[in-house]
Amino acid sequence: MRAIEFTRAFALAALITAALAGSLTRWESLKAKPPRAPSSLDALLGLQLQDGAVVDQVLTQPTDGVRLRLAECRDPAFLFPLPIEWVSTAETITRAFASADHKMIDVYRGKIQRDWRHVNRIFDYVKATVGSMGGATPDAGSYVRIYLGAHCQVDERLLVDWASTVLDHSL
Amino acid sequence: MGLNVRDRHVMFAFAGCAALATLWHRIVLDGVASGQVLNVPFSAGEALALFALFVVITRMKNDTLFTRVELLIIAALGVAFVFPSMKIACAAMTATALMFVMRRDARLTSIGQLLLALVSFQYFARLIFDLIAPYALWLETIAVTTLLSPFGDFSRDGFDIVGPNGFTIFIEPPCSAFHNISVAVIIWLGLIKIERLHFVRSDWWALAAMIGATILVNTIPITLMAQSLTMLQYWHDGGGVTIVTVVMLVSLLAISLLSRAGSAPKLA
Repeated sequence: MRAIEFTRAFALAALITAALAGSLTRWESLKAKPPRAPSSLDALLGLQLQDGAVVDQVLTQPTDGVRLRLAECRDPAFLFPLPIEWVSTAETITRAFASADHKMIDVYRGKIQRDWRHVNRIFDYVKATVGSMGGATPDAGSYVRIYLGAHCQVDERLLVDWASTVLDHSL
Repeated sequence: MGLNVRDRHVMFAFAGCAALATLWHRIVLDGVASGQVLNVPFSAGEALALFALFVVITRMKNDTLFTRVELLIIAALGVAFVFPSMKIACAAMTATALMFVMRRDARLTSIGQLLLALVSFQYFARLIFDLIAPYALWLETIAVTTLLSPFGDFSRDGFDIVGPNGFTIFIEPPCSAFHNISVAVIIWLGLIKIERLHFVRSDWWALAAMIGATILVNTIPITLMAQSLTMLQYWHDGGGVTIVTVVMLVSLLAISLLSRAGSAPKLA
């Protein structure tokens, strides 16, 4: 058998093996971590989160979200899980809530984001996706926008925790 | 009797790996996660491109097109398909596509183009759209409001389209006509490559017409959705979705067939 024929046979065998092994690894990863059907924020209604915050209303306008009653603050907090590329909804929420009475906070992948413009969001999304080439990044495609009463002082770790809970139920 | 393995057999195996990764991602992962078995226009586009890939590989016949080094590179890139990750598979498909797309052999160039189209469809096209989304959606909102103007006192407020009765909708990327252009492009490329390897001038007219049809077929339902909540539910989540899908696919196929009929050599 000539060298080129041997190489061709080797390449074919390698690719067939890759296809068979790939089917197996995909099947195993599906069994280990089945994709979830879309869940609903309704499941959060009445849930007590950290620091005594309670989900007292599930919102559908201007988009799906929840209202939290806070233990330490008279004004409620509003949390909206948003796909990273949804610019229209983000703007509509901003117009509905942006006022001197509210401050806006974005939470993405466990971090508070300040001055997080659309281009930054896409850049962070690409970074998160490329950074986990092999791993799953179900949370990379969404963030949580929070509106708090202007005078409410809430620890950033709590905001991240609340955002993570809401996002878990919206993915 | 020795094995009579040809280059096309190697490429069939590579295309099989690409089909496994692509269809698994689209049907099993996206399908279950979105609650739909199939996202019909997207699945149709990918399935057509994959079919075209196999058709083009068939045209390799028994020709020797690869060097030993190229065969070893293809085999090494094939390892990427072992991992249950579409991203890694896309990296291998992109590397293979870039290796082929500059080759002088039209069959390899076509394989490269189809692989690039599949990868772009998954990631790059979406990324480009996401970057320009604020401008694309703004333009689309203006277009829909303009189309609606003969039907009543519709107005635009930022990204909102506000009806005379106060009913308001806004457009997000999954519904955007511009977003769905990638479906038209992959169907266009797949249909051409099934028929032949080279582009002709009428193909570019067909592409323009298919993009125009996609924008029109996507924009009309949005104008209907803006009328009322009932219309929104029907055209966004109800039976209207099937109508739009069928109309879109039929119009793309019709444009493609008309363009072929128009460019076919005529007998005297």
